Amino acid sequence: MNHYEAILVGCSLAAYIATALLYIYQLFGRRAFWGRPTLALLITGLVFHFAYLVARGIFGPGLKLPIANVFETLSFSAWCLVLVFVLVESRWRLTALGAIILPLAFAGLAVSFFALHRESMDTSSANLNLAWLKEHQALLGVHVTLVLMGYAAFMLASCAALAYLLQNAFLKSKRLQGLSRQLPPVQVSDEAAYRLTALGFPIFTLGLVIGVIWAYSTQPKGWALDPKIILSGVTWLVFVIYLHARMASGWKGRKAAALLLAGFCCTVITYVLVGLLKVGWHRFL
Amino acid sequence: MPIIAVGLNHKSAPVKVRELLSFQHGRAAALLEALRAEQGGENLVLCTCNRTELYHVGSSDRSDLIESLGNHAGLLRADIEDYFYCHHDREAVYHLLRVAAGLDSMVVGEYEILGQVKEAFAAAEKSGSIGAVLSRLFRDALAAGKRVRHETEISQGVFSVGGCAVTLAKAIFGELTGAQVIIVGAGEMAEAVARALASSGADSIFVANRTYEHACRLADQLGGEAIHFEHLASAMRECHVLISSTAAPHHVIDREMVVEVMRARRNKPLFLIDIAVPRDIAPEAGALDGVYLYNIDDLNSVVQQDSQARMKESEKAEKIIHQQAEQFISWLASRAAIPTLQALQEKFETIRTEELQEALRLLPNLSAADRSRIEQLSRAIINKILHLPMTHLRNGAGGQEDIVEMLRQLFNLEEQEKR
Repeated sequence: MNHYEAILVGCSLAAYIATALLYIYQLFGRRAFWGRPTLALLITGLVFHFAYLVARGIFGPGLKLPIANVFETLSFSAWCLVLVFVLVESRWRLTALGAIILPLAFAGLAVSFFALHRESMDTSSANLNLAWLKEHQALLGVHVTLVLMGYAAFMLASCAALAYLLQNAFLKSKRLQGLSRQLPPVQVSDEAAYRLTALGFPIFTLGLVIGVIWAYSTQPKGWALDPKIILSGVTWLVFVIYLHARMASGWKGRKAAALLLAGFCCTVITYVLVGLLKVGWHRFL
Repeated sequence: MPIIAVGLNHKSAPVKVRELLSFQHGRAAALLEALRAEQGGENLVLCTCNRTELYHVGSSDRSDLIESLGNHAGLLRADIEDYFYCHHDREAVYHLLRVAAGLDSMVVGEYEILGQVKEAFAAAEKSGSIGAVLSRLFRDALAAGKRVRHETEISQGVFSVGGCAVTLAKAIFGELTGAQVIIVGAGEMAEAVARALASSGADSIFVANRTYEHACRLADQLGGEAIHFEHLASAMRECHVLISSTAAPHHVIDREMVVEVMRARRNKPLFLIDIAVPRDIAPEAGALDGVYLYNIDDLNSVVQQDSQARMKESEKAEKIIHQQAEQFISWLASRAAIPTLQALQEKFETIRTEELQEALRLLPNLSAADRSRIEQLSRAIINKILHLPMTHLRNGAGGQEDIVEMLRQLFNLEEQEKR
């Protein structure tokens, strides 16, 4: 951890917290404002964050992609999340979601940075296999990037589903004040949730396949019963059901949104709980 | 110079009259040309889908202007005169500023009007039909419109049942460009709601009625398309908003029909507005996923919920209008003072030169330097005396007209001007 990294992270955190506050303020105001400047500020933060990841990959002692331990991965996940949010915001104007995504991204990066800083886990005790991982890092990097991008898309999709459910409830109860004015239109959030899932799904699937290939090529036995792998399979299945219901049976609205939130819960369990329990093959993540 | 505004809008005239007197796009230039020939002065025509207004600075009065507009549209003045409103001077200024700010629109707070005012202004400037007064007035109106847009939240307000329907439709579908609207039955309220939706971008309107001829008539008025009542269900598969206001004693659209329609449209959201009493749409249909059913009471209660915030915002907007309008009015008054100012200056100059010559005649022995010093002294005295009153008049402070009149009398300026 050197000074350059601290400066990059500092700039990035400042941009994230500023945009987080702007998005939250906007959610409770009556008027949409500063859409473009806020987005520009967010992109600046994203660039600084990227520079930090690159610096850490190149100059750090760990892997080329900083994913060697749970805190490095957290920072990278936050970056993926913000990246996908920026794309979504410029495409669909789902500004309200920023009020959830940006605080999360800020927390992710902050926790990651301070944990890495304090424990200086660079050469890490948490990861005994660093040397071994380094040997096989190319495919591993692709696997993690794809899976995290998939997660980010699912996360955004779930937030859109949540926004849909809220706005739907407002409209059904015939109240049209406060929060309801800042939430996206139901048709837009419903469509965005679907598109994001449809987009994230192949990326996530490819990530899983590459993960399997990587696992098989490095260590042919003993990984299939890893809890994270099993749970990833379950998550994958929930999204398959969602996409099928949507495409084949025309599911939309409340039922679809509820299914998506179930998928989101699976994602969180897969991502967080297994990481915390430190069991199985993915225990270092 | 008096300012006069004559015009008609959605409140004063039915759509068939407005259509005949709509001079949108290319037609405005020819009209401006004709007005210049017939009426002289400064002329500007503002046309939107809901209004046609003529602003005139010059000597013509209301009936002259209406006559000209009528002539150009091939109509007799007597036939159209009743549909026109007319504002003079101060009222005309306030009216235009309120129009530009979207306060006079069908959907209060809409901003398309600002662009339309800008276009009308540009067209008039291009054809050279306006002078200093209307130029300044329209610039100020655009400024007022922009300020209302930036400094108030009036566009967020829900002012009417039509505006409420638009807000709800936007909360369901997002942008309404290209949205399809079906009207079942007839009625003023249904028409108003459809018009409000159309002015927010909805572009295909279908009208269904038990009597096909009635449907055709209303469709004609709304620029839509009539459909046979039996085809209602199939039309509902594609539409976004359905407004129902028939006089039927029973439900025209029952739950089963909506279930069927929702299946056919693969659960795409559907906004149903039931204006009829007794109701046209079975209330149970509102519980279906993706169906948003509002009856007239629901719409009214949404309008009510918003009333407090709305009051505050319209007060803010009216304050801005007031500021900008008064600014313009005092500019206009100061302009009116210009001839008086000139006459006053000339009068003093005459006195100065006369008295100076007289004094110099009595003092023949002065050196050239002394003569020029005395001349400078005379100028300085005049300038000092005139400085304060001139600034006062130029800034257009209050009570302008009285002061100007008094100055003319005190210094006998009429005679000065004759000279």
